[in-house]
Parts: sequence; structure tokens; C-alpha cells
Amino acid sequence: MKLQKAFIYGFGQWIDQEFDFTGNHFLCFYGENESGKSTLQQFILFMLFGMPPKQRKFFRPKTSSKMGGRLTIWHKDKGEIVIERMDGERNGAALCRDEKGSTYHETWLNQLLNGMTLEMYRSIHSFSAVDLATIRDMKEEDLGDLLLSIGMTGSTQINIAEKQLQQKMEALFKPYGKLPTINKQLAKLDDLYGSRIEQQALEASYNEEVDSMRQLKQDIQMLQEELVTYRKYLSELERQKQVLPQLYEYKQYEEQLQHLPGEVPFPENGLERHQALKNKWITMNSHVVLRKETHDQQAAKLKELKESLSNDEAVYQTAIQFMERGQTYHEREERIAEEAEKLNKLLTRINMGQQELNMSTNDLDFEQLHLPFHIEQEWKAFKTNDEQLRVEHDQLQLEGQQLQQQENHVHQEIMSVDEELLQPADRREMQTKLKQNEAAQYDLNAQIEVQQKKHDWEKKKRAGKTKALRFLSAGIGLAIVFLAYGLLQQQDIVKNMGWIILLLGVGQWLFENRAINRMDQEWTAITTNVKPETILTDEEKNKLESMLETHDLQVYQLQSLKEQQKKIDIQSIQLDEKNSAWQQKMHRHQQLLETERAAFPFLDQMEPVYWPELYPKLRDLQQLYREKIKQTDNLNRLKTEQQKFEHDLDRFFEQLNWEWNHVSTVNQLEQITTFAKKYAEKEMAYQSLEKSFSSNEEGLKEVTHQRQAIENEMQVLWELAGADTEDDFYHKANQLQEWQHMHNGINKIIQQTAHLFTKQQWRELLNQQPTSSEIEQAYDEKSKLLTELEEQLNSKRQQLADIHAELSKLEASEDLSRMNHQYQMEIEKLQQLGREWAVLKTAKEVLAETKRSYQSKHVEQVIARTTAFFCQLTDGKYIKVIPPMEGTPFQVEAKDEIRYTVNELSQGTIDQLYVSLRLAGSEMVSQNNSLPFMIDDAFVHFDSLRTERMLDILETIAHSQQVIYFTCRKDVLQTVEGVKLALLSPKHHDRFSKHA
Amino acid sequence: MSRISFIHAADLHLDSPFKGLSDLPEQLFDTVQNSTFQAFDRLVRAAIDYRVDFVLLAGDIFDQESRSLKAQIHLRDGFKILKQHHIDVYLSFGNHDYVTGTKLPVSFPSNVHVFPTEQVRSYIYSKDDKETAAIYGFSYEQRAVTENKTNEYLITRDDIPFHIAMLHGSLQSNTEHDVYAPFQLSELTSKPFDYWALGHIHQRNVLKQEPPVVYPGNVQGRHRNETGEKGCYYVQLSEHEAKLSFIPLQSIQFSKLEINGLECVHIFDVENQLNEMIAKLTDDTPYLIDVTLTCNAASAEEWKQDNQLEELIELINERLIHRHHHWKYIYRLSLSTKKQSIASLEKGDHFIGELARTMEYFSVEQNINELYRHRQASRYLESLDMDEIEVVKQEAQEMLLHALLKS
Repeated sequence: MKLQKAFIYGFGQWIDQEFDFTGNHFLCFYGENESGKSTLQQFILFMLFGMPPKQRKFFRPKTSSKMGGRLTIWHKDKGEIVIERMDGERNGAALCRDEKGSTYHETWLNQLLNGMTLEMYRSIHSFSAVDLATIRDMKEEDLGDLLLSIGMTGSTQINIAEKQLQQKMEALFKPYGKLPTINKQLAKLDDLYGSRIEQQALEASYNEEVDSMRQLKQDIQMLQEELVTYRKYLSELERQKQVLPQLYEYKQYEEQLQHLPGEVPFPENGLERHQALKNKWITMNSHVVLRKETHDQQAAKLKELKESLSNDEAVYQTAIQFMERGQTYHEREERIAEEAEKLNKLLTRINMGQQELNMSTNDLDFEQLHLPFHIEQEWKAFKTNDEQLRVEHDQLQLEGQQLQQQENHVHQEIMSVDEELLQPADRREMQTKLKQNEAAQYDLNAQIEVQQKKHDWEKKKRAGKTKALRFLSAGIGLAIVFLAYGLLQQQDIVKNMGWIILLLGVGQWLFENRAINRMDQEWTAITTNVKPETILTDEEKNKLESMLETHDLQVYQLQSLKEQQKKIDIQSIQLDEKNSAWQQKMHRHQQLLETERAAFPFLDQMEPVYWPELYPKLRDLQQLYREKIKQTDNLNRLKTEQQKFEHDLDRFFEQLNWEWNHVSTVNQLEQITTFAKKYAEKEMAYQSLEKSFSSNEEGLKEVTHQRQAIENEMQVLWELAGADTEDDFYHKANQLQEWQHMHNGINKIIQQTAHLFTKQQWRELLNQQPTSSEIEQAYDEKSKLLTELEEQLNSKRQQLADIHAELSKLEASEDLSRMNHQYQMEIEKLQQLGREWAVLKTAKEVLAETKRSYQSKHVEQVIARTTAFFCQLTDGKYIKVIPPMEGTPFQVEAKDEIRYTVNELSQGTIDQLYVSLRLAGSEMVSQNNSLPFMIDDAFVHFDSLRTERMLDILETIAHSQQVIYFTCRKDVLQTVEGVKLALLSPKHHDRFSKHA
Repeated sequence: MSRISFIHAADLHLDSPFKGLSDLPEQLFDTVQNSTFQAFDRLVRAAIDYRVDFVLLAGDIFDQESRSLKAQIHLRDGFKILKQHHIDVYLSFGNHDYVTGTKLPVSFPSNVHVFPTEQVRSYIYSKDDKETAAIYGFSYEQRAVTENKTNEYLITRDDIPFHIAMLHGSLQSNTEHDVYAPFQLSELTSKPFDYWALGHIHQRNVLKQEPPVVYPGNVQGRHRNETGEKGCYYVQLSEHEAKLSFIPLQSIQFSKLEINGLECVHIFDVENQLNEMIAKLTDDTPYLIDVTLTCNAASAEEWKQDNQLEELIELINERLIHRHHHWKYIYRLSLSTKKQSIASLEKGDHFIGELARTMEYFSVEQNINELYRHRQASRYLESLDMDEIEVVKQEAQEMLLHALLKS
């Protein structure tokens, strides 16, 4: 492609100016500074590649409204093309027209230029002194690369771009860096990410916090409830402490009450009533006691009297008998006298009869003279009836036998009676026994009475003892409980209480026992021991009495038997006499007569004839005699009786140990009488005493009765009080008093504590029966616990508040939200930076890749051309250019085959090398479609020789490529041959034209 | 004659960060951060103002990825306010806030009825003690529900006047989004439901009028593609008709502005254009503006030079932020330049041609691993998609050309 001509409507200093580029391929525009060289150059570039408005504005001519122009180019395929650009039209875009008149736009033009842009063009097809200057500034080590890049693009930009890209990339990101933007952004993101994770975790902790809060709320509620319980408990304890004395008092009352019956029944005003009764009773009792004493004394006296009476009774009875008998005795004495007189009279009469009969007393034994009624008859028949005598004899015989039998019988009876007869000792004993029995019986009765009372006492005593024992056992039991409790709990108070209770129990027991003993002794003293054996049974008594009666009877019987015996003896004798008389009579006279006579000696003197006569006389005599006998007997009997009496009396006296030997019976009798009198007196006294006794007894009974009435009344009171005894009653009274006292106490305490405790609470408290120290301890413990709980609660509340705060904070927290947004933004930023980096990286890699491929395709060629140019420019001083290989820098080889790295070259040589590279590059690019090569005073620093060589080269190039050279050096103009020269001077256009 | 009214919203994405925003000025940050909440608050306000019977929230109330306690608390507090006004809430969870995802133990008040499982079930809404409406729905238990759920929507009670189905899913034919609980429109309309309350698609769309099958869209746009008004539908159902009206709820509106900078000689021209366009935007809501500036490469390079464009945007933003009412903010400026014909470049034997050729076959993905596979960076960086890679290539090329060719 070649530039043909240009017409500038207005561009910078050029207005309506036309330039012609035809004629020679090597065009040289000469002009001094400010002559418009650069403007023209810019115009050409503007035409070819367009220009940004701002730049266009810069070239807008001051004197013309038009800005723009036309450039005619020749293209090997398209022919001649006119490019027109106007600043005001199409925004500076090109309008192209080919030879056929077709118009094309910018794009078309761009394609025509193979996408060449202004910058590309500049880097490849134009260079100026400025470009050269840049390599001078390069660092030595980069020079090789720089030169290579020049070789490739014709400019230093690859190298610079690479470096810039690298720099930018590194400024943006380093894999292990910290400071580059992306690294920083990454660090920032890491931070944010971390914080976000933390924040997320924090928000996730919302879960836990909510759970914790729930848990805490529960805990707090529980704690509060517990606290309420504890506070209640504490106030309860306080109340307990407050009421503790009352509690103990109550407990004590209650315990005491436990010992008391549940209710103490007690009559109304029982004590007073009882006291009144008691007073009465005492009075009455003193009466009773008095009476009793009297009674006892009298009883004793009576007893004594009775004893003495009963002792003397037998004596007395006997004495009475004796007295009675004494009367008889006296009478008998008189009778004896009378009888003796009678006897005497009889004797006198007998004597007189005897005398009358002439019979001595001796003759007549009237005693033996038996003159039965039939004697007369016998006597009458005596003589006549022998047989009768015999019969008489037989009769006598029989009589004798009968008598014998009688005698035997009597004898036997006597014997038997005598045998049966009691021994005097035995009899006395029996009598004594009876008497004793009587006395004993009396005693027994008395004793039974006493016994009864004693028995009552025993009962009381037992009751008393039992009670005492109960006290004792209860005391001991309680004491053991207290002691055990005290020991266990180490409570001295309790222990001491135990001791006290024990002491009280034992004391009570001892007291009770002593009272009982005292009473016992009294009772024992009262007791007269009546042996039961001294008392006879009724049977025994009866036996004894009958025995004594029998004895008396027997004695009497014996006496009569003896009398009978005597009688029998007499009869026997009489019989014997009769017999013998009869026998005499019989024997001697006719045995009987003789006997008769013998029997009746008086008969001797008489004839039996007289006998019948004699008989009445005899009979009378005999009667007399008999009377005399009888009298005698009577007298004798009397005497015997008297004797017996005396004897008995003596015996009696003897028995009584009374003096009897030298005492006359009369005296004795008097003595007895005195005794009897005394006895009677005694008996009188006894009876009077008995009367008085019974009257006293009545009295006693009455007072006893009255006392009993009082006692009954008291008993009623006792019964009402449920007491058995007075003591019991007083005990009950005390109990009642205690009971009332305690109940009052309890009621008082209940009233006092009612506002503090319910009944149940109070009951529980009583059961627990806490001690002050226990309560204190519990209080302390609970207080401690309460404090702990409060602390816990506070802590929990604090925690809850914290959690609340935390939750509120979390809920109100914008942090995560903000962070999310920030994070997203930073991510976006990173994304942008990443894209930026990607662009840089892509650019860098593409550049590197392009470099490699470009090198592999074109560098050899370019280097070859460079070598040629370089050799020519250095006039053969250097013969070879060696492009940088791996590890080796850019080198040149001198003609002596010594290689120099570019760094070792002089600046001039480097310049030459640069130019060579640029030319080679441009030439290489221009092979297919060459654009004009524009050089703007590139060789300012070249000497004329080197400039000449340079221009030679350019001229060579110009064969294949249009070269437009702008210079301000005249000497250059002189050195160049075959160059179309044009002088540029806006003021002297004509000059240009001239040269042209 | 029974009537019911309700608000249908979906995809609240509470507290979900915006995409594509970086380096936001501090004073805007709060508004952005709270925008989803504000939108929700407006929803609550609207429900109260319109005296609706209930509110339907068809899934994606939160974002699992950016869940925050604040979101749940705020939601709960909003529900509490609704409760005070006796407004029930029927809520299902979607793919972004699926049931088994991590949630904090913030319990909703009793007026909120949550569909607990993937099993479609119904709640009965009683108005004046009369069973008036049956609301059907299900929640995502896992991140995805891929089966068609429409068969499970069955009306069991004929005696209830209104049957409203909530469904978080997408049309089978929709390929732009992840297809969850896919359905065909005919499957919905063939069922005798009075209203299909859909969720999942952020672009509001009334798929059908009778019966209404409605995507209300999300309540707050969160990236540059979610432009325009965002909000919910206020629905009044009677036996004969369904009235739908859209209530905007967004607290920030995304907007796209395209500036033609080709004719702009000076950057001030761009500024003027930009100001003009911004002035046309409404004044009732803050705006986040995405500006695409079309210009030629030369201008682009020129304006890029010395951060001119950035400074311009900063200048404009500075002004826009400090407005009295609602701020506006240009959060993104992209340059759209005339692409240099790579094809023409490739023809050249010169280095640039070689570069262009190299660029064409250059694999960006393989060469950016240094960063994108970087242990630390890979955590945060999303790999570039094809479009982005193209952009990167383009930018790289432009950069290289600029670097290599600048004079």
C-alpha cells in the first residue's frame, strides 16, 4: 500500500493543503522545527486510523472551521482508494471510495489495513528519535528483551506491556502474597468469612441461648419455689423459735396430761364439799374413835370380866350349888338334929319296946330283923308249916340269889360306871376347855371383826402398794426414756429431767410404802392372835358338855348305885341273917324255928305262940327300928350327904386351892357365899358393863353409821371423781387442778399460737419437739441454704438477664445481616478483581504465547534481516545478530567472531541495532501488505556517515515499501540520493511546491 | 355472598444480600441492607391498610445461605403486627429456605400457618366463624423438589367457597431458572382452584387471568437483572370474579440506563446524557442504576484514561446520593465498545495479528487457575462463565492492544 496524495481541509496548521506522495518510494520531508512535519504525519495517521475526538479537537485548525481531509492511497488489490475524514462528520469516521465510486466505512478500511491500528502502525511502521531515546533509559538487563520486542513489533511495548502486566498482576495478586489487592481482599474476605462464621455461630448459639433461657427460667422458677419454701420454712422456724417455750410448756402439759386421765371427772366444788364432809367426818370419827375406845375398853373389860366370870362360873355354879346345898346342909343339919332327936326318940321307944319285950338292944338286931308282913303269918304258920318254912327257905335262897344278882349287877354297874367315870383331871380339863372355848369364842368373834377390818386394810394396802409400784415403774420407765434420750442426744437437761423423774418416782414409792408399813404395824399391834385350835367345834363342845353331864349323871348314878349296893349288902346281910336264922331255926328246930329264935333271940324267950302277938309289937318295934334304921339311915344319909357335902366342899376348896383343912364348912360356905356374892356382883358389874357396852355399841353404831353416811357422801364425791380413796380423791382433785391448770395452760398457748400455727402444724411441731439449738441449727443451715439459693437465683437471674440481653442483642443484632451484605459485596469486589486479574493474566499469557509463536515463525527471518541491516550500518564491524535463547542474552557477533551481549555494546551500536531491528520488523510485516514506513528524525544522534548508511538502507527498503522520512537535518538531505525531497513550510508552501 | 381478600407475595429473600454491588457508600449500605425488610414492612402495612383476610407467602422467605436471626426476628415481629390486626398468614418454604435447613428457634405467632412438609395439605380459613377458604400448599423439605406436585392438589371439601393453592415452583418450560416442582399451566388451570399463588420466579407474571395463576415476583430486586417495580398482589376473590392489583413494595429499584457515547466528543457529553436519563427516573424510590455506555474504543480508552469515567460516575453519584428524598446511585458502569475486528487483525503478519490469532484459541480457564483454583481465593471466587470468559478475552485483547500499541 502506498500513499498517493493527501488533501488537508484543515488539520493543525495545515489548511487546504495538498501533498503528493507519488514519484519515489523514498520520500523525505524536510522542515525545521514547527514546520508541520509532525502535523502532517498525524494527519496521515488520522486519515488511516481515525482519531479520538479529544485528539481531533487538538488538531482542529484555529483559522478554519473545517477539520479533516482526504488521503488517497493505492492498494495492490483494491486500487486507488480515497479516504475522507471530517471531524464534524460521522464523528471522525472514515468514508472510503474506491475507483468504482463505491463507498466504504471505517470497518472496511480497518479490514483493508488488516486490523492495523494507529498504535500498531506506529510501533511497526514508524519510529522517531523519541523511540530511540526510550532504549537508552532501559536497564541493561532488559535491553535484550526490549530489542527482541522491537524486533517483533517494532516498538518497545511488548516488553513494557509484559512488565506492566506483570506489575499489575502482581499488584493485584500473588499466590503467596499479602499486599496485592486480591490478596488483601482475600484476607479481608477471610476475616469477614471468619467473623461471619463466628457471627453465624453466635446466632446459632441463639438456639442454645433460647434453650438455656428456657432452662434458666425453669431453674429460676424452681429456685423461686424452693426459696418460697425455704422462706416459709425459715419463718416457720422463726415462729417455732418464738413459740418454743410455749411448745415445751405445752408439751409438758400434754405429757403431764397423759399421766392424767383424758378427762378428770370431779364433782362440782368437790374439794370444798369434801372438806366440809371431812370436817364432819373428823368430828364424827372422833366420836367413833371415842366410842370405839370406850367400846374397846369396855370390850376388854367385858372380856376380862367375862373371862373372870367364865373362869369363875363353874366355881360359881358349884358355889351356887354349894350354897344351895349349904342351905340344904343347914337344913339337913337341922334335920340331922331333928332326925337325931327323932332317932333318939325312936331309940328310946325301941329301948322301951325292947325293954317291954325284955329284950336288949343286943338281942334285937332290927337291922337284921326282918319282919316281913308275912312273918306274922309265917310266925303264925311257923309252927304249922314246915314246908312253908322251907318255901321260905327257898324263898330266902332265891332272895339271896336275887340279891346276889342285884349286888353283882350293881357292882358291875358301879364298876362300869366307875370305869366310865371321868378322871377328875380330865374333867377339870374339859371344864377348862369349855370355859376357854367360851372365852375363845368371844375372842374369835372380836377377832373376826378385827380380821374383817384388817382384811379391808390389806386390800387398801395392796391398792396403795400397787399404786406406789405403778408410780415407781412409771417414774423409772420415764426416767429411762429421758436418760436414754438424754444420753443419746447428749442433752443434759433431758438427762437431768430423767434423774428428777426417777427420784420423784422412787420418793413417791417410798413414801407410799412407809405409810402402808406404819398402818400395817398398827394393825399388827391390834391383832390378837387367836389360835384356832383353842376354839372347839360345836360337836366337840357338845361332846364335852354331854360328857360332863354324863359324868355328873354317872356320879349321881354311882351314888345311888352305891346306895343300892349298900342296900343290897344290907339285904344280903339280912338275908344271910334270915338264912342263918332260918337255918338255925331249921337246923336247930326244925331248923327254922331255931333259926327263928336264933334270928329272933327275943323269941327265945317267947314262945312261938306269942310270936304272932309279938309280931305286931315286934312289928312296931321293928317299925320303930326300921324307922330308927330309916332314921339312922336317914341321918346317916344326911350325915353322909353332909359329909359328902363337906367332902365336896373340901374337894371344891381343894380344887380352888382354898384353905379348907382348918376351915369349917360353915366358914367354907360363908366363904363360898362371899365368893358367890362377889361373883354376883361381878356379874352385875358385867351386865351393867354389858349394858353400857351395848349402849356404847349402839352409840358407836350410830356414829359409825353417821360417819358411814358421811363417808357415803364422800364416797359419792369420790365416785364422782372416780376415786377409790380419799387420797385418791385428793389426788384426783390435784389431778383436776393440774388438769385444769394444764388445760388452761394449753388453751392459753393455743390461743397465743393460733395465729401462728394451724392445729396440724402445732401437732407436728409437738411431735418433732425441736430444741432451740436444733431450730437455730436448722435456721442457720436453711439460712445458709437460702442465701446460697438466693445467690444461685441471683446468679441465674443475672444469667437470664445476660441471656436476655444476649438474645435481645442477637435479635437486634445487625451484625450478621450486615456482614452477609458486606461479605456479598466483598465477594462481588473480589469477583471484579478476579476478573480484572483474569484479564491481566489472559493478556499476559496471550502476550507470552504470541511472543513464542511469533518468535518461532518470524524471528529467524527478522534476525536475518536485522543482521543484514546491522552489518551494513556498522560497515561490517558486526557480522551477526544472535537473538536471545534460553539462558543466553541478546548477542551480536563482531567480525572477529567475538560475541558481545547487548549490554557490552556502546550506545551508538545499540541504536544501530535498534534501527536494524525496527527496519527488519517493519519489512517483515510489510511483506504481504506493506504500509508506508514513516521515520521522524530517528537518526538525530547518528553521525553523517552512519546516517548515510542508514539512508542507504532506507533507500533499499523503499524498493519494496514506501518510506516517508521527516527530518530537520539538512545534511541528511545532502547524503541521500534518489530520494524525493520535499520542503515543508506552511508559510512557504510554494517552496514545497518548488522542490516537489 | 362471600368474598375474601388477601395479599399474595413470594420470594421475600429476607436479608439476602444484593448481587453485583461492591464498594457501596456507607450511607446507602444500610438502605440496601434493610431493603428486603422494608419491603416486608410495606407488605405488612399494605395488608393492614387493605384489611385483607390473610397473607400468602409462597416460599423463599429467607435465603438459607445468608440466613440471619435478624430476618427471622423481623419476620416474626411483622407477623405479630399482622396478628394484632387479625390477619392470618399462610406460609410455605421454598428451595431457598427449605424446612430442614438451619433455622433458629424463633417461633411464629399463632396467626401464622406453616405448611410443614412436602405433602400438600390444606388449612381452612374461617371468616366470621364461617369456613370460607381452603389454602393448599407444601414446603420444601430439602433443597430441591423435582417432582411435579400438581397431582397432589386435590379439593376435598366442596362446601368451602374458595380454594387457593400455593405452589413454589416453575413452569416446566422455563429453563432460565432452576426447575423445581415443575408444572404445566394446563395442569393448574384444569383444577378447580380459584387462585394459584405461585412463587420462585422473581419476575412477576400473571400466567393466566381466569383462574388467576400468578407469580407475584419478589418484593425487592436484588441484582441488576431484577429491575423495575417489585411487590405483591392484592387479590379480591368473589364468586364471580378475581380482582388483582399489584402493590409495589420495593424499597430500592434497580434500573438500567444505556448511554450512547458514540457521538460524545467529550466526557461531559456523556455526563449530560446520563443526567438527562437519570432525571427521567421516578422520584418515589431509591434507585440503583446500571449504566451501559456505548462508545468507540478510542473514546473508551480515552475516558478510561486517568479514571475519567470513574470520576464522572463518582461525581454524579455524589450528587445523587445527597438528594433530599430518595437517593439514586450508579453502581455499575459498563462500556460497550465497537469490537475491533479480530478477523482483520488475524490476517496481519505482524505481532498483533499473531496476538489476535493466539487470543482466539487461548483458553482463559486453563490460565487463570492460579487464582481461581487458589486455595484461598477459590473459596470465594465463582468460576467464570462463558460470557464472562469472552468478556475477559475481549478486555485482555483490548488491554494488550492498548499496551502494545500506545505511543
